[in-house]
Amino acid sequence: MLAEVKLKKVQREYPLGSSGDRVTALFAQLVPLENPKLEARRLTGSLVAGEVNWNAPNAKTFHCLDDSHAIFVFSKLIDFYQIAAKILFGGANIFGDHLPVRGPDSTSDTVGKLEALFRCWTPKGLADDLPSQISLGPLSPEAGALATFESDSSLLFLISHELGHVFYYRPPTEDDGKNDPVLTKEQELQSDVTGMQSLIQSAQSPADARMRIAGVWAAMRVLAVFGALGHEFAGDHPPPLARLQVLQDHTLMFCKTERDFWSLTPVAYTVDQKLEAAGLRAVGNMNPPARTADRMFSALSAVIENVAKDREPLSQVLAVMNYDFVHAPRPNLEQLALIAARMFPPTLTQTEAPDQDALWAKKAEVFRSLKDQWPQPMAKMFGDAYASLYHPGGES
Amino acid sequence: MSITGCRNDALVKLLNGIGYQPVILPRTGVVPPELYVYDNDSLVRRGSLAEYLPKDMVIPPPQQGRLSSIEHHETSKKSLGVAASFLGDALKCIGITSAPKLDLSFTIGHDITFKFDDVTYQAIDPAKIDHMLGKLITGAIAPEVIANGYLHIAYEYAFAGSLSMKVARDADSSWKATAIQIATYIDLGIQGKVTVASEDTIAFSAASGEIAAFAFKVGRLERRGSKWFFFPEEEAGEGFLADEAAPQPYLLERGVVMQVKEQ
Repeated sequence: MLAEVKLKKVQREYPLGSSGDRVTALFAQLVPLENPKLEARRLTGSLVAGEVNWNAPNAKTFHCLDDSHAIFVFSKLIDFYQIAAKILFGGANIFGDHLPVRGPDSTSDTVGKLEALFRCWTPKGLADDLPSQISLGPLSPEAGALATFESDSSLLFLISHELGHVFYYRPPTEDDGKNDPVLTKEQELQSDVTGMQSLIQSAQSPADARMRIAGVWAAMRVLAVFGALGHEFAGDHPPPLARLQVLQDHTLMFCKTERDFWSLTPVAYTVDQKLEAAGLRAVGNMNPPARTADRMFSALSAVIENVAKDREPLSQVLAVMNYDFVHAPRPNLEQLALIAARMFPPTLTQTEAPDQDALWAKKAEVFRSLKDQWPQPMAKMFGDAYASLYHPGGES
Repeated sequence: MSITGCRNDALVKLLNGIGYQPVILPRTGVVPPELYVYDNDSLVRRGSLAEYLPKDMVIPPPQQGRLSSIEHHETSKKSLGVAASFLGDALKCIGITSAPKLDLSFTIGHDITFKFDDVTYQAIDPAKIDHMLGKLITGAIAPEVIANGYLHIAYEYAFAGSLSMKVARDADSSWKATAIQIATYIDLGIQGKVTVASEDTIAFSAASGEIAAFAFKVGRLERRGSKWFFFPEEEAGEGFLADEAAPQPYLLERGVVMQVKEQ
């Protein structure tokens, strides 16, 4: 079919590097495709995907006149995601399957290296020599595996989004003139959401789901930083930050409970925050990324979970959180207090996941044990939030 | 379909960079616009576009001029074996389709580069082609050729009056091209002549003076419903991100020289 011919032609025109076609292998991970129409296309050869050695930070779908479709993911963006993941997992406090994975780098090293990586963006695309510009230390096998899984998730998300371009495709008519029909903004967003949903659903374990979500959010955050650096986005696509917000909102909707959401997103929030911090520095803004209530609760929940599992001493919770509690804007802290009060209720309800019930009961216990040690005004906000949720009209 | 020894050659890249597809045509006397069928496997010239339009339709005469952006640009350095093969093909580009003898062994041990001289163009504005397509008569062209988008129109040709072959003398400055050497090793027959242009350069030109095209600019034709549309630029595709890059001229395939067949 013409799509296969086109892909092969472009791969001849722009020869791939020594890694070969990384997209073919990734695409195989999505097989069989969830959507029966798309799977039928793949089986008949009218839907192919491959890597193309272009510098633009993008992926593209080409529609051929024989109704076949070729998805291209560009090499330099693949390199970028892979290097970013290695940097992120070379830093501390990324939580693996059972234990925290600690890399050799400090948080500042991690953000500094990511900043250097972002500086490889140019208006003409990503620099040719991405890997040589960043010094990458060796990763432990576990950290390396996590980094690969996370960057693969970013790339699978891109491919999954592009599948939306095939799904929603309609052939041009004479009324379109020379213009090719493109997706509406709603269809673009729906392609993002569907792509993320299928990745989360295909996860084999909660640990996999954590990395899938982290990869999806990271994919979009990286592109948002490119936008801040000067990458232009035309009017027919929603800006990456808006797309990221939609993805974050839908992550919650795809989880059975809010508790699942907070269990599955700590890596995503950590990665997102570090990428944003690096992006801010890359554009010359030395302010830290926004301390949103969601980010702060994610960090709080993660560190409390470590304490509940006897991986960290109780004092670590205060060490991790107190800086944010002092420096975050008051409305965000009030919102954080409400989330904490909601997630760590005085009496936990029983669910169909008794292990999780027990874990969250322990987490709530850890949280409440710190009641008298929070700094003001945080301590009062926590008290007020509990009062408003559980004793409305009564004393806190 | 594409000739060997040229993939991603410096001159090929230069031509691609300004929108030209290097080609080897089996004939001289081509004038744009002309119709081609390119099915990703073979490139066949179907003849002048005028033959596919009503007889009373007037095609404006092409603009012409010199192509100074291509002159003086050399191919990548080639070894003897590759150069010998390339020379045979390059001579076709200036209208010399066969040569009784092409032996470059007298240059053994030296790299060789080529360049086209006296480069000119003939072009018709793609916008003018748009206006002609309403009356296109595809006649005997197979329906699948049309449906698959294999029809193309060449709207600009680049021609070379002569070809120069330069022998690199970096390691042996004593090497010199001589008329006797050339007469011994190269014979272009009645189709062309070869001369010593300088100590390291040999020039080839067609005897007839009829210049041949060595590259063209081309666009693809697509029928949407009952209307034809001409695309002289690469299709943009649908991106994960919107693409703000300027549209690139359409090429059949980057980095290669295409061999054209005559229908």
